[in-house]
Amino acid sequence: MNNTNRALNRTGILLVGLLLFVVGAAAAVAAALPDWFEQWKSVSASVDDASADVIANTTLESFGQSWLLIVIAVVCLVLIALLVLFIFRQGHGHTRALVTEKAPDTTTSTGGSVVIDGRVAEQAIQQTLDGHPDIVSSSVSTYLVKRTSALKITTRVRRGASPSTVRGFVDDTVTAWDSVLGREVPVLIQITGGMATKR
Amino acid sequence: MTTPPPYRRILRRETHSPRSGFAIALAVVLIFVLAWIGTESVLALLGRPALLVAPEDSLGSVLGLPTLVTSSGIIGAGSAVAVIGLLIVLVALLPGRRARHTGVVGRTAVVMDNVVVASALARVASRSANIDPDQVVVTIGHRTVDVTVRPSSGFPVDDARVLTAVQEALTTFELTPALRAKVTIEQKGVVGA
Repeated sequence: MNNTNRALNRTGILLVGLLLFVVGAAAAVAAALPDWFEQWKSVSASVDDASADVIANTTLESFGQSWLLIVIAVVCLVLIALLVLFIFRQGHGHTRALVTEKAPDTTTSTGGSVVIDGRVAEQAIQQTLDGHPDIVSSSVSTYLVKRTSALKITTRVRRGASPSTVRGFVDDTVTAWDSVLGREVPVLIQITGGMATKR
Repeated sequence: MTTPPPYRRILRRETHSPRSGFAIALAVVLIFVLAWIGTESVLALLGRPALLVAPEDSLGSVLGLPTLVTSSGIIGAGSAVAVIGLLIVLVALLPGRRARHTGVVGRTAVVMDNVVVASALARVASRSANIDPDQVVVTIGHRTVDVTVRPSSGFPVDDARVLTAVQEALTTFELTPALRAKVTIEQKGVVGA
């Protein structure tokens, strides 16, 4: 329920994969065909000659080295920064406010706003759920999905528990909470099990 | 029944992998490679000895590849790189389904692990056959569920009854996509169960 940019993840993976595939396949095919292999050798040789000129033309007097090295270092640094940003972009999407209500008209009211913290719902719902015999443990968290707050209720159930029974109980709890809150927020129920839930 | 927009997005996200782990792993590898290239460039610029290979030498060996390595070596290495690239492309394009099923969307939306469905069905099947839940193995696929029952030796199990019980349970779970049940009674029974 987090807002990881999944399209970006897949695009990045796709680009890396395509790059490896194209480079690997091109090298293999060129090496397999004698004509292409000779062509490759001659192109490499001419690039090698040209690169010597490029290095000579870009040499800095003070360092005795090509300034292209600085360009390479800077480009590497920028790419590293972007990749680190990309890694820290994963996940996120938690929010604190469950409901934010602004006064519509300041002439008829004091113009204040009301914010209901997600933890109010989290604690109230969790307390009710943990009383059910089929539920081992539960956790409730508030997420921002498409600019609206939504609750995610995760319940770990005992082995053999009927998911429809558990769902019915959580639904009842949510309905009770709706009447307390006075409005409906989207709710996702996740039912999980596992080794720790053995009787 | 059509699914309201926020639920459609939420359920799609809960039943498919975000590919975060793989993307992060690739990014970390790229960061190491870039850090190495950058460090070598700076060291070469300052006239210091290289960590592994100086930039000028690595450029030379890349360009000299066809003359330094035999063509069969390039074919082998190139094919290996291409296959790795193809596998990575598959990771990017395959849906990456998680072992979960969703229920009917009402006031709330629900997503449940296949483990939960399997253990619930195992209990239902074992009750209908009057045996221990450990004698039932339930395997859940995307659209199918296989229930394998090992009867207690000397007490035959009615597979039609087990199938009916499992199908009734599946009806109450209201899973999407719906699961088709198949019951197999093993020929060998369990002694002393």
